[in-house]
Amino acid sequence: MRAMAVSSPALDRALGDIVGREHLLSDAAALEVHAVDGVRPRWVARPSAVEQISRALALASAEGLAVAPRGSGSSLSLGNAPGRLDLVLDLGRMQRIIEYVPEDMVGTAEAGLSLGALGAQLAARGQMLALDPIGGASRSVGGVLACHASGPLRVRYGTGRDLLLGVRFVQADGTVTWGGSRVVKSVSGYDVPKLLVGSLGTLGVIAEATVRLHPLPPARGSWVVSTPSHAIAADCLAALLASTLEPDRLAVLNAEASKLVGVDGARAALLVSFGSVAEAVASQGAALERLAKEHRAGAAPVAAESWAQLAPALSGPVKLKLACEPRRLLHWLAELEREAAGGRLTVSAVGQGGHGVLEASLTGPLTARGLATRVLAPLRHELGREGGSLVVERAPVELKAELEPWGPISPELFAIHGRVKQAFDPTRVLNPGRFAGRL
Amino acid sequence: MSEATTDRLGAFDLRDAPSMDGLRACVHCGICLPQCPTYRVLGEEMDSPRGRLYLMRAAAEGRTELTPTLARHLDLCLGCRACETACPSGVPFGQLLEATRSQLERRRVRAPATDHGTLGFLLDLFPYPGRLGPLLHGLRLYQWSGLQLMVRTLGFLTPFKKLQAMEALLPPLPASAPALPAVTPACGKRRGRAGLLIGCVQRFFYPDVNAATARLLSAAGYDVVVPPGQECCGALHLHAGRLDEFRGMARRLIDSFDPELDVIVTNAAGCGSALKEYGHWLDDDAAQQFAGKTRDISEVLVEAALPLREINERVTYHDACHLAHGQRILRQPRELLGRIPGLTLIDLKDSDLCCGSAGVYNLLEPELAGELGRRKVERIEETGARIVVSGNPGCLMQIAQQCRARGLAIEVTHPVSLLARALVDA
Repeated sequence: MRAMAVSSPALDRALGDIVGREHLLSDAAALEVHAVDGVRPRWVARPSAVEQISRALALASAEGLAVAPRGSGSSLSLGNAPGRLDLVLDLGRMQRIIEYVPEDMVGTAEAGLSLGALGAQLAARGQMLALDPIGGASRSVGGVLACHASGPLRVRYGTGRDLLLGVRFVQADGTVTWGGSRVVKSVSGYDVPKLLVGSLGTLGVIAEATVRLHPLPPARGSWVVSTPSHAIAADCLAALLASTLEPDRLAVLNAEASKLVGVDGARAALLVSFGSVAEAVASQGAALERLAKEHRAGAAPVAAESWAQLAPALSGPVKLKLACEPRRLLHWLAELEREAAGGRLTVSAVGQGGHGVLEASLTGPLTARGLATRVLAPLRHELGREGGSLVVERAPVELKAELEPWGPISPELFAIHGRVKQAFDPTRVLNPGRFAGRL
Repeated sequence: MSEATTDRLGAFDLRDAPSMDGLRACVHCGICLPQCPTYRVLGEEMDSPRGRLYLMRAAAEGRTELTPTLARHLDLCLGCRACETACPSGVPFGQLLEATRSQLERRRVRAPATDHGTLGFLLDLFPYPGRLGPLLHGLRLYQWSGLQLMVRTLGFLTPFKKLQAMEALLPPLPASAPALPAVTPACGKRRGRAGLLIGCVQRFFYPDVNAATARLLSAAGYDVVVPPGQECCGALHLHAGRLDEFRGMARRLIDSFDPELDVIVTNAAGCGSALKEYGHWLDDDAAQQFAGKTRDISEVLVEAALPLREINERVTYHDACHLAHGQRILRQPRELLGRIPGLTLIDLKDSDLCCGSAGVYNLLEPELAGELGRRKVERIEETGARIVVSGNPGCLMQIAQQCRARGLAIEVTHPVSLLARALVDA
């Protein structure tokens, strides 16, 4: 702990002047509620404009305060517990749509706006932001980008890296910077937006995001392919991806997750939707049913609500994100289920077919040792040999202290991360300790 | 650090402590936030379900004491349990809240901003028919004499916010209705014997709803038994965390009903929800059995085929929190209303968002409750319906008051009243 007694009231006043007294919280209840992995800040400030973020960071930087940006608060357990924490910057008041040009299919929103609220406004003009992390409607635009979260739409539209065109962000010293552009095609300057996606607020605080939008398809239909084994699911997935069919959403579900969409008794399932004109949706659905039959699996149409019903799939106390070669997705799902079953843990998993990303939540008798020896060590070891990785995105605080959430990181890669951090935040104001290698 | 010795759970003692498993189930995903009425109005994390859980957990893990600030954030909760419906992890928020409130109450940890005087007064009044009845005699005189009109027009009560809120809420009081017969025999094919809970507010403010309920139950084939000695179910005390008094009331209520009854029927969402939780709080066979056979009137009637005549009206349905979230009853009332020929049921936007009534909440926190009530009535107005129905007396009073305040000629009534209006007597 650094000495704080002398400067505290002065800092308190200064922060209050920046965001307004009523938007600076320092009572015990507020601090407890805004703690990050059990580490309490000294203040919570709720800026309402980029300028306020800028002034707050300039002050933090001058006074050596550690700052954690916060969106909806859904994913604060991503990463290591903070090494130190003085100020939480809650962007929940920044919810405006700055600019929306439906003709250009581009929009700029403040970081605190939720995906659901943004989606509702865009839907009124027949458009969408193609980011749909599982259970993520209440998550903020800035948070979803900073966490690099994505969902079933990724199969067609990519991730935040593909959708973020420009970003207004505030650097650690308070400098407001604009990176990227407000048009779809641009090659000027460094591609800072891509750098910020997944940076977990360690390089800058995203204040506004300019995103590429897509039209909502005129018609949509959803199907579920239930399979009796992981091998058959893998065959179906490979056949689907190799076919001329163009799903707009695709999710690989394990037995537990498939129950949420009304499938009972399958070892795995594919939830697929097609979005196009009505005739094309119907004919692609029929083709999917034939494809499933050829692989001894069953395909049946399901309600559009099935996608929303997946929301609880990843809400267990521990959440993992596993990355592997796309064609090995079901292999690793089977491995994860096998190791978890040995520890009497229940796995609910949703995979991004075609992209080799598997998100899973675990419930059951959880211990740090059990997780480390049963799940993390064996899977990381085997995955590592194929260039894959396993990140613990969420775990109870008491377990997390004993886990390595990010897993091993190569010295070469860590050196690059270190240099980037040094360039953006040399005094380590932003989220110190939370990133890989405790950067 | 958690250093749970044998007789403490952090800042809590072990008598009715919130369940640690329940608290730990929250993974902070935030899906509950947009569903929380107080968060929607106040926008404060501490006044959201996730924030309140953080506070309860911090207390359970000894990171904070039970302070007046913490109490205030919990006091502001309506207890509507919309967060439970939204929660993907199954956090039993209502039970955690009530357990925490019981410890705050027992140790007299009180937030200065919360009006404990009024709360105590109301809790000593509503559940006791012997006290509420005589008071209402006086109020009836106040209404009939024209004094009420004068008070409302001239705004005599404007300086007294709480009193004004109470006065504004007062529905036109019916003449004291004759007590329901102790037994109403079944008509037609007999299905069983039903015990009817007449409630403490319902019996005085909406005796016609009880009469309609008895008539419908009888038409559905039940002998309707109304134990004359029945008192309050204790729901208000449960929600306020006064668990000792609640348990006493629950025990007396269970004892006043014949254990051989096939089903216990309520027409008040708040009471029904509390009755169904008797098993959790009392934890003995009699309470388990009583809770197990409690049904909301809509659950019972939906299984019967009632002969209904036409009612040509545009109607919208507001979900009482303790039906939609407390008992997960959404389909049955709508299905019943849909069976009335000629009736057009119009969807109400945000129909399951609390109207602000929440037991005695609208009397304790008139500003916040008023804001929620205004939002509710705006949505109702949008539907263009002439009648709004809801299965809880508190909601009926709150919505009716907000309609009066806006000068809307919308009829506010209970679903069973409409059904009884349509019922063709055999």
